[in-house]
Amino acid sequence: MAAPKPTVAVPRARRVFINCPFDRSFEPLFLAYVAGLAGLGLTPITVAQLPSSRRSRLDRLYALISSCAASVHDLSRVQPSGSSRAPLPRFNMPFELGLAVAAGMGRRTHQWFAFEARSYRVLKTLSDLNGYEAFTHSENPVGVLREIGNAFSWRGGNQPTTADLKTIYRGLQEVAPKLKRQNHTASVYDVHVTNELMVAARLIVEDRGI
Amino acid sequence: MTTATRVRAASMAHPTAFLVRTRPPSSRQAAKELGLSRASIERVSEAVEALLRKTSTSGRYGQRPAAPAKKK
Repeated sequence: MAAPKPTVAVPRARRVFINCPFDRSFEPLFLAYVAGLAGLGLTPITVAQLPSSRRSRLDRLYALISSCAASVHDLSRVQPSGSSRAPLPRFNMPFELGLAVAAGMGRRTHQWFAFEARSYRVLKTLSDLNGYEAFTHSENPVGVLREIGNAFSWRGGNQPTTADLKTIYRGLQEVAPKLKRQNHTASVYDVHVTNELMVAARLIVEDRGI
Repeated sequence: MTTATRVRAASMAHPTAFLVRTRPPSSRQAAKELGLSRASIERVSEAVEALLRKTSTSGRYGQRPAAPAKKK
């Protein structure tokens, strides 16, 4: 399959980096992030879109995050995970949040938002965020949609409601298996599937007049 | 300045919410920006059309099904 074209054509003001676990059990929440952002007219960008080049992965990752106007960081996966007999915690999510915080410091204009399953837990797991309250979704897709709606707001106009975003989410839930099959992948995190979900979301918005 | 203070200062510099200032893209524009191939666009359109056909008859996703014609 041909590699996807770079997503540089998406204006920076609309690019939102999603930093989350990429495993099967997280798929419903990932779909909710995509539905919520796409419903608000924003374009989800994931690490799967990391361009290949001679630069180090870390440089490319920082460049990708910096190329987005905002980022959402799901810190809800605090328990050790993995299929091995000795599951390990994953540090990628808090690490990438650190890169986003750096991308937003000084005169740079990158906004970051931390999401968690439980209120105030992030203050124990990541006390450097003391003074910052994470958006709490209770591991529920509707909770993600609600909190995305709280984190991102429109200037004027009729911003889609949580119910509108839920309509998009349910639509994506239906089409995701088909898009995965057609792309010969079992993963919704595949860059082709994520991009097609974004377009599917906009088609649903247009049909439903959201 | 401690790390926590720096992070707090950075987050407090943020507005409470990200203000979406751009117009949402149309599906066609989104497909173009993301570099979707023609085949990919057709796949998505077919999948969504099938979904919308299904939902317009079953009344799911918040749309009521068409009312049955009244008997005369």
